[in-house]
Amino acid sequence: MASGSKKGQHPRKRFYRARAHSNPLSDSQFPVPVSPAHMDWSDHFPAFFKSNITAAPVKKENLNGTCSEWSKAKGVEGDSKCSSASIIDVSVRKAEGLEICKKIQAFGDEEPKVHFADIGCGFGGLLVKLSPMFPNTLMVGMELRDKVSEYVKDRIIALRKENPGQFQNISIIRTNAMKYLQNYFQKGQLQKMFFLFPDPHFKERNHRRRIISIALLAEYAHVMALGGILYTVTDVEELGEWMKSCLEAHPLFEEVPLKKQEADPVVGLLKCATEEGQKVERNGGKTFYSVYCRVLASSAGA
Amino acid sequence: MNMEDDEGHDGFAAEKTVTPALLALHPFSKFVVVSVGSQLRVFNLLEKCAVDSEDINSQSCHVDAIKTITFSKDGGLFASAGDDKHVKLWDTDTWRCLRTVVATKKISASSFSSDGKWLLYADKFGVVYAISTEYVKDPLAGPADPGQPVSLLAHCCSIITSLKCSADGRYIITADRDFKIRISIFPKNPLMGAHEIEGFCLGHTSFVSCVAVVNNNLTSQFLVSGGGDGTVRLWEVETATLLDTVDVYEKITIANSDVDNTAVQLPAITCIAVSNNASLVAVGLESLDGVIILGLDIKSKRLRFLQKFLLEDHYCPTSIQFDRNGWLWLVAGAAQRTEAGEEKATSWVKVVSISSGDAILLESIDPASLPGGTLLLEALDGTDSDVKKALALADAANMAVKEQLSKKKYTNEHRELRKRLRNDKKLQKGM
Repeated sequence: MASGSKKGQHPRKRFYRARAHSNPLSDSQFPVPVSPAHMDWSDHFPAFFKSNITAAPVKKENLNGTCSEWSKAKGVEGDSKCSSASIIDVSVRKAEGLEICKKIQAFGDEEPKVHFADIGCGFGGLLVKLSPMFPNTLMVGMELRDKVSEYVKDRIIALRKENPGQFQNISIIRTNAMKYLQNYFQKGQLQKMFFLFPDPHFKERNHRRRIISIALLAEYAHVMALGGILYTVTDVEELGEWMKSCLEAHPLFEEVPLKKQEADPVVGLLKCATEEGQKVERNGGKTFYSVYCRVLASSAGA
Repeated sequence: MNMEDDEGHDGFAAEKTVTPALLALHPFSKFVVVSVGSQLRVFNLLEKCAVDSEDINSQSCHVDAIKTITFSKDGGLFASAGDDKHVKLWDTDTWRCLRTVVATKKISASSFSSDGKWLLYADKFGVVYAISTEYVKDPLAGPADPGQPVSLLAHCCSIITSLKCSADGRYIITADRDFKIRISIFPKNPLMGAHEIEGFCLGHTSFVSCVAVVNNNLTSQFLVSGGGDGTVRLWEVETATLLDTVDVYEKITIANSDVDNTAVQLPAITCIAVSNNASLVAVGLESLDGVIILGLDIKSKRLRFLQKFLLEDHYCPTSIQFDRNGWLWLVAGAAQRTEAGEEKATSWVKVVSISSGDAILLESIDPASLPGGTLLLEALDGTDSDVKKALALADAANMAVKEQLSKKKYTNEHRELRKRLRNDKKLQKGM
C-alpha cells in the first residue's frame, strides 16, 4: 500500500488517491475486535494509557484470525468487563423522568474511553479541528476506504510529531461502521456522533446503504449515552430531508432546540471543518443540518 | 467492480439448491412436523395418523424450499416460510392455511411472539417483519391496514440465521452471519417498529448458526447459541453477557486423535436444542454422525461438555428438538432441486431418550414405541428408500448452509487481480 509520506512528514493527498465510493455491504478484509472489551485502545492513544503498560501484551486473534498492530487484546476477560458495564447501564435506565445529561463514567478500572466518533471521517478534517477543543476527550474516526484511512493515520502521526503533547486524543480506525460499530463501543459509550456529508446513494435501491436509516439509528442510539448528540450535515437536499425524517421518526432521538444548537461550538464546525465542507462552500452550495439528542423513549407512543 | 452486481450478494457463495430438513414439535406433543424442501409432512401424535389437509397437500403449498417452521407457544398456530417468499400461517386444529403473506425477499427465520399475537419473520437481507395473527382479511380495510407486514428492525445487510422471542415476551433475539446476536426490546406496539436495543451478545468468532431460548421460571432469561466457530455459548439475555463457552470441536478432537486437527475451517454447529427442564443442551455438529450432549446448570450459569453420541453412519442431524418427556427428536435429510426443476427430498427421523444420572445414557427409541409407530416414520420420512442418499444429502445441506454464511476469503493475489480488472482502473490507464 503506497505510503506517500516519510515517517512523520505530512502526507500528500495525491499519493492516497482512492475511489470516492466504497461498497459498505461487501465483506472487506480488516481485523475487527470480537467485542468492545477485546478492543485495545492503548495503541491509538498512547499518551492516555501510559500507566497501563504491563508485561508483554498478549497477542490475541481478531475475528478474521489476523493480528493488527492497532488492536492487541490486553488479556482482560471479556465477560467481567461486560458485566460491570451493564450495572452502570441499569442505574441510568432507572433514572427515567429526570433531566438526564450524564456523562457515562469509565467502568471498572477508570480506563479512558472514546467518547466522540466521526463516522466516515474522510481525510480527518473534523477530528483535527475538534482535538484542541476537547483536549481530554478521546475521539476516533471510522473510515471504510483503506487509502483514505491510511492518509489520516499518517496525518495524525505527523501532527503529533510537530506539536508535542497535542493531537494525542484523536485516532483513526479503518472499518465498516455500519456492520461493526457494536464491536468497538459499549452501550452508552459515545457522547457525540458525527455523520458529515455521507454518501447520498441516490438510487432508491441503494437507499439501504445510507448511513442514516431508521434501522441503523437503533444501533447508534444503543452506543450513545443519554443526552449524547448526533450531528449530520449534507449538501444534498433530498438526503438532508431523509436524514431529518429518519431522526424525527425514531423514538430515541429528539431535535436539539435551535438556541442550544447555536450555543454549541461544534455545530459551527460542521460546515467548514472538513475538506468536503470546504468544497461545498467554495462552490457556494447550501448545507442541510440535523442535530439530535439521544433521549429515552417517551411512555406516550411506542 | 460493478456495485450493482454486489447488490445482495456481498460475499455470499452462489446458492446451492440443497436445503436441510427441519423438524418442529407441537409444544404439547400433539403434532410433529418435518419440512423437506417445499414439502410439509405433518403427523398427529394423539390420533396417530398423518395429517392430510387440503392445504398441506395442494400444489399451491410452498413452491420452493422451506427454510423455517415454528409453532406458537400455545400450539394453536404454526408458521412456515422460505425461498418462495411466502409466509404461511396455519391453524393447528384444522391444518388449514389461514393466511399467506408474500414477502419481498427469501425468508430465513421466524418466531411467534410469546403471546401468539404476532408472527415475526426475518429475511436474508437482515430485516425482521411482524404480522398480526389476529387480523382477518377485511375487503373493506382502509390503507392503514394492520394486516400488512411491518418492518420491526434490521441487522445491517446480514442474513438472520435465527429469530426467537423470549418466553416472558420482553425480548426479540436475532442472530446473524456477522457473528452477532442482538437482543431487542419487544415493543408495546409492534406496528411502530422495534427501535430499542437491549444489548449485543458478542463473542462468537464466526457466523452464529442457531440460537435456543432456555425455558426457566426465573426472572432472568438465558439463551444458548451455536456458531460456525464450533462453540456453544451460554448468555444472559438482559445484560447480553457471555456466561460460558464450550469449544465443542476442541473437546471431540482431543477425544479422537485420528481427526485432522489442521482443518482450516472449523466444523460448524448446525442445530441446537434445550431440554424442557433446562438441564441438557443437544447440538449437531457438521460432519458428525451423531449428536453432542452438554449439561446446563442455570444456577451456576455454566455449560459443560458431557458426551458425544454416534448414531448411525452418516447420520448428520439437520434439525433437533426435545419434547416434554425429555425425548430428543432428530431429523437428518435434505431436498435438492435438480436442473430440470424437480425436487428430490429425503429425510430420516430418529427419536432418542437421554437420561442423565451418574452417566449420560442415550437410547434409541424403537419405532414401535413411538406414537403411531411405523406409520409416523412413513409419514415423516416419505417413501424414498434410498437412505444412504438421504444422509449424504443431509451432510451436503449442512455444508451448503455453512458456505452461504461464511465470508468469502480471497487471497491477496485474487484481490489484486480483481482490483486490476476494475472499470475505473481501466479508465485511468487510458489517461
